[in-house]
Amino acid sequence: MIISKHIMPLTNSFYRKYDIHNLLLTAIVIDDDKNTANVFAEYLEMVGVKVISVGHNGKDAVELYKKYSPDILFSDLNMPQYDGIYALKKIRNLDSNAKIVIITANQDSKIFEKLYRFKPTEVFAKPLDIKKMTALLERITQTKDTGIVDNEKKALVSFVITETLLKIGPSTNNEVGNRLYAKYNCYFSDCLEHPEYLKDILQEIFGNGSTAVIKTIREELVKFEDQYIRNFLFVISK
Amino acid sequence: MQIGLLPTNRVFFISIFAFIAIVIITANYFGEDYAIWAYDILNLSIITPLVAISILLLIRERDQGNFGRAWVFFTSFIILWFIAEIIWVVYESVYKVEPWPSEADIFWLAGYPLYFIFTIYYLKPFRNVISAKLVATAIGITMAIAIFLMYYTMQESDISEFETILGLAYPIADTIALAPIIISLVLFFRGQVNFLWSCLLIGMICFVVSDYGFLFLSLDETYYTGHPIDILYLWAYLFLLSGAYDHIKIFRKRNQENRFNDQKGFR
Repeated sequence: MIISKHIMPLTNSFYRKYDIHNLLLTAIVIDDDKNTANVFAEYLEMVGVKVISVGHNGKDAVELYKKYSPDILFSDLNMPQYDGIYALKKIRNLDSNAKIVIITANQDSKIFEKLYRFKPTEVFAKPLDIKKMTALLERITQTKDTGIVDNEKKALVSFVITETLLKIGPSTNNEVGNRLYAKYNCYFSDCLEHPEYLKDILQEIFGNGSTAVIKTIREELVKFEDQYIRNFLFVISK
Repeated sequence: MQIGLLPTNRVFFISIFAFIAIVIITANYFGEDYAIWAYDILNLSIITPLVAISILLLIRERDQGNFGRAWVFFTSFIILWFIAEIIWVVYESVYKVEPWPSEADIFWLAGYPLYFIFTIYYLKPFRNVISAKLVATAIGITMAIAIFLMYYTMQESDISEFETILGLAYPIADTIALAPIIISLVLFFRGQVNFLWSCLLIGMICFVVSDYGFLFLSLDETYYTGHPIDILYLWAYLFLLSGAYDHIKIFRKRNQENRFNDQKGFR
């Protein structure tokens, strides 16, 4: 990994920022270049992220994830033998909610197409953009802080989507769910974070009629005063 | 838009339509008896799979949700018309009597309310985006056509009042049946389910023209089963068959594991 030269002076300003309410973020760093992995781990430590372990290939990533269940795993994409896609695929199968950030200088669209099938949390281009990294860490800290509630919200969104689709028919519920999984490797519960996926599938099947389904979902969820739900409704209704 | 038979087997699809037209026209060339037989065979060959696919849709949806209830009424509508077609064939080909008017008309006319209930259930989950303006436009268009047909036919009719009203009932019912189709086409624009409604639209237009043709030919007493106007009846059933088949393809049963609804992460 190549870290921008400008990172160090900037990071001091939000040192330990992510240790909110003693909820220190834990991370694993994977890179085949040992120096890069160590430098990146040091950077994360500086900004208040606890780096539990460092690995050097996709297989290490899977084993370390199984062992430590970190809040976030950063992995390089191009590594010999077991690459970042291998790690992403295997970890995604273990935990569909795992936060996996892929860091790459690769611009190959075919690789990206393959990569996105396994839903990386983020893909960062090298050199790292410090603002994007900060935003990501803040978002994950917030999720960690409210982790239990987050699952409740996901379950709520999943329940409302299922109920709405079942009113149309069980086959509609099955078809939308199957297409979400086939196209985006995504469950109804994941639609809280990715409402655009649900919107796309509904439009594919019902065209303009998808707005009616979205409206019904909105009417059920609008009473919940919550930032995540509001974001979900904003994107899906856009 | 997924268009079932049309994109994947375009040549096959067009060939069927051409085949129907060629068979009917050729049979007419050889005489009315051949035309009757050709029509009856083709009619049953199309409507029987239509009944089968409708029943399959019913089994698939299991009477659950609005689509489930919709397909109950669609299947009932198709079965009533199937019975009507059978009665027509039996009267004409077995008992050798004039099949119109007959009990078959009761089944055909009874099918229309069921068709309307089908459209109501299908559209019910989407009612919150169906505007009054769209409904008014659809009803306005269809009513204007229906009134025109009614007025024009009453002026021209030489047959009995009962037969005129009975003959007129079909094109008018077909025309009114276009109203929910117009709403659906606008509603589902760019969606895959739009193909079903496109097929219903073209099918119903075929019924309007053929029923109107039937009425006028009956007024002249020149209609016989298998008349070239009947090509449109057969095409109409074929469009309904294609629409129903496409719907099965869209909501195909797969992935029995229901992985998409995996809630274990929340427990």
